[in-house]
Amino acid sequence: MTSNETPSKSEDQSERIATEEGAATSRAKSGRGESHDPRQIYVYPTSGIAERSGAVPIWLWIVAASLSIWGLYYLVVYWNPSAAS
Amino acid sequence: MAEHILQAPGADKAPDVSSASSDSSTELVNRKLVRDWLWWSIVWLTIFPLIGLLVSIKFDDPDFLGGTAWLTFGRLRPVHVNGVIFGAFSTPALGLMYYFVPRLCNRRMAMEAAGFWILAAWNVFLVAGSISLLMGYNLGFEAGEYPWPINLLRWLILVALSAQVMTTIFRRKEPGLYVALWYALAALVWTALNLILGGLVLPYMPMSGISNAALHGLYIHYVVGLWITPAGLALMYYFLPLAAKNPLFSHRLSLLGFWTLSFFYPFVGTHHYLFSPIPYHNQTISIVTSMMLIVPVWAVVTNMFGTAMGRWGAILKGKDGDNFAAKFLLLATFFYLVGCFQGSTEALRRMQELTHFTDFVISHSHFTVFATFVLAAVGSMYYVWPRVTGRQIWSPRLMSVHLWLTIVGTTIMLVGLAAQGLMQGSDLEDGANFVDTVVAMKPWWLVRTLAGATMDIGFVVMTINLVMTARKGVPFIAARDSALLVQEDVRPAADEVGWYSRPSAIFIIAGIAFFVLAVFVQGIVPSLLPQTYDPTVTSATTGQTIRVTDYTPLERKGRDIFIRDGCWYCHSQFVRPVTGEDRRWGPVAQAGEYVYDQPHMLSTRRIGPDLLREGGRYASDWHVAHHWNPRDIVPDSIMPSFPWLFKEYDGKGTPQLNDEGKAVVAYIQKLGTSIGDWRETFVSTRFGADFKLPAMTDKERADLVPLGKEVYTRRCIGCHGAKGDGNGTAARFLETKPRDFTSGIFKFRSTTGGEMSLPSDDDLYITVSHGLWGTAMPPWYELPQRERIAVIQYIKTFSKRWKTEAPGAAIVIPPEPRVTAESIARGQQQFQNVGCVVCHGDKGLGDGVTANALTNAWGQAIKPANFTLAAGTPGGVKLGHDGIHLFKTISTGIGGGPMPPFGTVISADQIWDIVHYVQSLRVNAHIENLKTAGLTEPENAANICATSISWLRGACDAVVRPVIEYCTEGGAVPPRATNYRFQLSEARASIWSSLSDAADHHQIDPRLLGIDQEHLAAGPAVGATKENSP
Repeated sequence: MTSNETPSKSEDQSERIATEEGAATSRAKSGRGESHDPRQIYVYPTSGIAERSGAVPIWLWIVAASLSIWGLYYLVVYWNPSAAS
Repeated sequence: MAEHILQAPGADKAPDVSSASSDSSTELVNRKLVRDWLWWSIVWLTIFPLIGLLVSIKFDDPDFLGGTAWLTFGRLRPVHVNGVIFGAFSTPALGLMYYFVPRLCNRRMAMEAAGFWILAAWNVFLVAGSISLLMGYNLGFEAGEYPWPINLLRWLILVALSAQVMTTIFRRKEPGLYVALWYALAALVWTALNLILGGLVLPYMPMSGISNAALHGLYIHYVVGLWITPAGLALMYYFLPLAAKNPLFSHRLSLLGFWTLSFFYPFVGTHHYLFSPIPYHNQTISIVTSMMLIVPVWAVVTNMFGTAMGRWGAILKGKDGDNFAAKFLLLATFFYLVGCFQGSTEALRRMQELTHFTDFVISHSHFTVFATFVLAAVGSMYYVWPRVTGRQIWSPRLMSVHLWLTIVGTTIMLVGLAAQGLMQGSDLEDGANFVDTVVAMKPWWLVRTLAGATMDIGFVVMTINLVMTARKGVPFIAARDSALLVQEDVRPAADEVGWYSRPSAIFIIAGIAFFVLAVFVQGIVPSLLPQTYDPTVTSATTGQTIRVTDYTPLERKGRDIFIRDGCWYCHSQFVRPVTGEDRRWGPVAQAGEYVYDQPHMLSTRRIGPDLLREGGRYASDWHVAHHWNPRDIVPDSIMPSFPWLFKEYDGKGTPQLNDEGKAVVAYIQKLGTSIGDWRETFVSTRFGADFKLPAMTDKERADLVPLGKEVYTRRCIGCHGAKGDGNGTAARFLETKPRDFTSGIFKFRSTTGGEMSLPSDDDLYITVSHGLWGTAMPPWYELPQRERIAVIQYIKTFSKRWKTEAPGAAIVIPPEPRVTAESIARGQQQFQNVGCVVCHGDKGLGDGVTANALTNAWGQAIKPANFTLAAGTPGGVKLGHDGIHLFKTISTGIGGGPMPPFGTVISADQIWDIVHYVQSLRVNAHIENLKTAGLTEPENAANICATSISWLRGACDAVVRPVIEYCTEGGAVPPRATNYRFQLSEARASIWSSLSDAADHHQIDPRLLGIDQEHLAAGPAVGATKENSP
């Protein structure tokens, strides 16, 4: 039912090995101990997708913290209807 | 910036991004398979929204496509809702998985050929499911209506596709796992579990109605939040970076967004039923987690808009498929921001007070399902279509037209629905008549229909464009599919893979653990609390605990038809303790009332009135007229007609209900009756000491006539007729004929002048406000006072008597004497002496010797009242057992009826004695009802630990019981009186106090509060009064 050609098994294997070797090389180069750089870009070569490591903006952390504090307060005060009124 | 400098392929330092060209990576994709899925996506994207348009037209034209059961609103609506979720959205979402999953995994989809079979099966599911709904097979759960064979088919299809996707992911060749795959994987796991919840647990595992509602709230939100949302986000995360040709803004934001969504979302569903008897703390948990969803939503939105940073100009000016894909995806992101903020805040209690049941809810559902995720699918399709057809999009202009039609139509619809919802909610909170608020919505619904048509035209435009692309588009040479314009220092994504972005963690923690935790906390634990499954309620009149009875076979059949024909899409059964609902509909809903309701019928929309307290509001013949043609009896109604509930009608005589119709009416008349005789005192028949109708001059009365005519035309004309002669279009259905106002004869008066005396405005005001039980005349207390006064002035114009006569002076009503056993005994004697028994019978059952031979002034048969019946029961009293009202009626008789006035025949004290006797008949009958309902103790937490295993019982008592006692409202379940005699005595006190002024002021013989009449002499009973009764 398919109409596309399927890559041969050997081509598949070569591509996989190449990708894994490339990844290993990159890891060796980058090392795991390097500090996080938000501008660092990572790629998914086959799909063409790239993404920045990035960071969560401070304002969003503030929003998250504020909502968490409010959430805790609301959960406690409004746990029972008699306590809330 | 370096990131935006184009670099030649094959750069030394960076991985070869040129390998990300479409040539090699597209070989991973079966283009025909994706193309076939997207062809069907185009079909469903056109058809199911179009059905929504047909449904929308019915709001302004209820007879549109009327007359056929298959096309009634209640059957078409679920076709639209399920169709857009599983057809219009899910088909492209699933089909596009065959595109991005292989590309992200760097291998072809596992068992790829099965994708064609899965597509075929999916289409069978959609068609068969839609037809089954039109045929009336409906499980009764919103978004879970499909019957079990369809549910099973859907589940098997999704499991098969999940197997493909998961195998591909777990055996991928790309070490990194991109965020789109997190969402895709989680979405499939969640949905497989959710469909078991919705297709197996909800309908077939025995549980109480409130437990059913708690779990259903979770289910319906999982459809949106744990299927549509993550599947849609997968599309956005994959296609926007490619369409915008920019890297995704932030991996860390992806992590924050995914894990907060996965944790919080499973808890939110209970917010569909705030203010219900679902335990309060579960509702609070849902509110908190709903608000916490702001975090993942803003994380996603920041990520999406951040991804477009620096490329806005190119995107907005661009005219190819990629740029329009980006436009649609960014538009979807904007709607996601607004729609989800709307949704989160909608979960706050104050917001829900106003917006629940209104179109605000519909605004939110369209904001998210359509404006966010269907548009995300559309954008993704514009990106992929050239790549799977090998042709450029045929017409940039048509893409632009589609975009603008979508922007305009969607914005108008969503903003309009939100505005009208807030408006209706505010009006109802202000005390507006419900039908008046429906009328106010009609122009908004028309605008919604036009907006929807605009959106649907957009889909037609898209269809044309994609068809022409496939047939005549110029060849498309894929540029390097790359989200990078710059490769300076890039690394393979595998470097960033932590445990939190591995498929096993996603599968186990997000997919299963969080889901199971939420279902346990929000669905299972509430079901263990006695308050949700105890088959008892608190009697509305006495405060005592009584058992709830199950439906009779006829009522249950009626309930099945109510579900089948989708009545529950418009009519909720859920009176909330907010915004004056208990003053509008009746006492607030109690958990025990729903104990036999599976599926529950709380509902989430109120296009028509709430029906929880409908039983006894009208006589059954009103419902017959109403179902034949609602606009015969309520001109403003938008309810469809239900001719299939009637026997075949040849145009002669009056249409008659068939068996199904009788069953539906029986079911409706059962609603709200479990809590006892609440209706007796719901609308008072007397003015309180601080209430008086405003004094008016004759001119002021005359000035109100035009308003009165308006009120009459909208509320009264269906029964009383345009000429006021009682021959309205619905009159033929009614056993008790509507009053003929042309005669100037009225039943209930407090004026001197004999049985034909004209009533005062106060008398008419009371009748209009209270309604007449056991007839088609409903209570109109919801209407503003001015409108009620105005319609009275208009009614007077029908009879010349009002021009030639004036109402007599008000009768004198002396203060009620103490209620004593002696008074009742004297009253019983007078009942005999003055001849009440001749009509009303020895025991006040309305079965006197002349009962079957009585007629009124128009020659119509009329029956004497049975004083023992509860409010609203046919054959009972029409204005209640209030002492003042009974005094007036005995004094002045029933105008136009066979009951003469007794005010000049017996003394006031004798009348009061008869009043007390008549009231005692009702009190005693009510007590017998309560005994039958088994005044009983509620189950308390201690029963949880009932077991013969001593160590287990000890552990349960020590650990489980205190937890459950803490979790029940207000702490430990309060002990109830165990003294049965005390309960009955308290009940008597409550009932007497509600009917008698004297009893209410403690002027009642304590012996009357004893258990049985025969034991009155047995010694003093407990002197319970209204104040110390619960």
